[in-house]
Amino acid sequence: MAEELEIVLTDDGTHLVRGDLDAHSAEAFEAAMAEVEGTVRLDLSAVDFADSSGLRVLLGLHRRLDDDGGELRIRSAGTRLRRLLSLTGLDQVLALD
Amino acid sequence: MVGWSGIGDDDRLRLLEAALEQTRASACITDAALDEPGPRILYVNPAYCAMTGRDRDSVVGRTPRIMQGPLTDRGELDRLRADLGAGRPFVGETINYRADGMPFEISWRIDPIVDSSGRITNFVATQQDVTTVRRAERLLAAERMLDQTLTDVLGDPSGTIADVRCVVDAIVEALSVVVPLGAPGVELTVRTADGPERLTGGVETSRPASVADELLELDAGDGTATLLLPIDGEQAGIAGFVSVSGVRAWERDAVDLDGLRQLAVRIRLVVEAALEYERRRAAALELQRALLPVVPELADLAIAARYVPVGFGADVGGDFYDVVDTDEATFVVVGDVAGSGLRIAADMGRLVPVLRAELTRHRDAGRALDAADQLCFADRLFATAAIVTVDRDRSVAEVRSAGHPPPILRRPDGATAAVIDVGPPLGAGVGGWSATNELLGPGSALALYTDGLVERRDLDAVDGIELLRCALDEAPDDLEAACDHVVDELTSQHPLADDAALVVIAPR
Repeated sequence: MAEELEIVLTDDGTHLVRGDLDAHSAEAFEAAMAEVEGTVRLDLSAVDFADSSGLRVLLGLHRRLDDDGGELRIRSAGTRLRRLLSLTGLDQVLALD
Repeated sequence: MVGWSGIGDDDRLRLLEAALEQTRASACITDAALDEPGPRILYVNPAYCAMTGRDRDSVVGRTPRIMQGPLTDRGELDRLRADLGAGRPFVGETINYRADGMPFEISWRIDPIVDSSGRITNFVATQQDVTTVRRAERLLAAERMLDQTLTDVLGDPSGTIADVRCVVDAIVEALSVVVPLGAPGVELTVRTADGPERLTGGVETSRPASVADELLELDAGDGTATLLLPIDGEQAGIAGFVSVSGVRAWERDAVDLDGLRQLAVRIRLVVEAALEYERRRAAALELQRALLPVVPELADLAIAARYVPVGFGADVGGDFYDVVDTDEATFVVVGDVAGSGLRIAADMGRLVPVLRAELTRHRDAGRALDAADQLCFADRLFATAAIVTVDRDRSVAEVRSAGHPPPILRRPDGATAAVIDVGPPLGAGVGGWSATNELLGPGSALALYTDGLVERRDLDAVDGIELLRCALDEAPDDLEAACDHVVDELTSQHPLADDAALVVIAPR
């Protein structure tokens, strides 16, 4: 079964995302990140599984921040997610630290 | 005595006896004989008489074992004997019988009473009829189980629950919770988009010709009875029944018939909801399929395509393919729009024609991807797509990918995943899709697919692509058979979580 999505704002201002970023949780991710602005750092090292719906909301957040002069930075991502980002060419769009 | 002050012995005894006589808790006092024929009842209070349906005269002097019967739990009685034999209090639950033979569920506690020398002189038992409470708890648990299954089916867009089968299994399980006797079974005929479907679970029972509206009890002829309850919802397209078979004569009265009736109502609602969901999915699927093209018959290029839906309980995927044949080249497109539900069909319905129009007009895969990217960027869609351009000689396949996984190339000496530059996905507004050329010699084939085929929670895309490569390597030469083989191989060990598309091309 899908793991519930959890987003925690850590002390250094990074949004730590835990769980699966998929069709099931994409809306929850969008809702949770609806108010963020400026430079947003995401730690995705605890995202075990993502699918195209998950990538869609990542790209959506990147676009929104970019439009407003902000930036989405991905601080960390697990091997599997990193591979998915590269397989879908999103590593050329999103800023991976 | 603890807790009493300023009251004499006589008053105290009078008060205690009055309390025992008035209380609604059932109480029984026996002597301390544990061996056959068991302890003798010295006193029972009126609540005990009311609960058991026996008057005081008919029980005093006899053993409490007269309350027991065939459904009484022998294990509980053994534990009782062990506890009391060791001087410990006993707490337990089992089935006892009223004077008229009706079973009821009892929760009881027995405490040994010791005299000043520490010797056990008596046992005091307090009992409670918990039939109503336990039945309500079992019904609630069964209903929760059904509801949870429904929630899992409806709330799982990744479609790990792939069949209405799990609803049937939950029904059987829920029946066994409400009626922990006999053998539960279910038989339903439901109306689906593909026509009526018969679903069965548990023990099969033949339904009599005359359909009862209510609970039906059938004599099985072997001393057992079968209880049948219709689950009919004509409007929702459900007909059938649930059953509990193998109920022995002496178990019959312990069956919670009211609970069974209430459960039957809930079962009908759950099946209705699951069917409604399946019908909506079928409608979305039909719409989506209508958007997929009929693959053209080309004299010098064989093309086989498959759209593989996950099945019951899943959302429709946004997987698409298209073949555009021009006098300069043949373009094969495979892609995937992210999202879910009917909306995805609408998104596909906009994206696919844009690609087709661009390819027809400009005969340029890079330009077509640019146009698609602009549409996706403007409409905030996220999609991946790969376009293979096959030249008229059918000797070179040029591959461009917008975030889409690499095609697999099969040559007479084996299959390999094409090494290509994957460009950004459609909707990023970045662009830049470089071309990789692959030679298509005689006997070679090229497979394009969507990520649903090679990736799920339990299958990393890299491993999935390797599985696909092996499957294509050993696939038959006939392209239709090759498609079937590849789909079989990729779905047999790891059931699909998302819809998937597969297109295989080969020069003739």
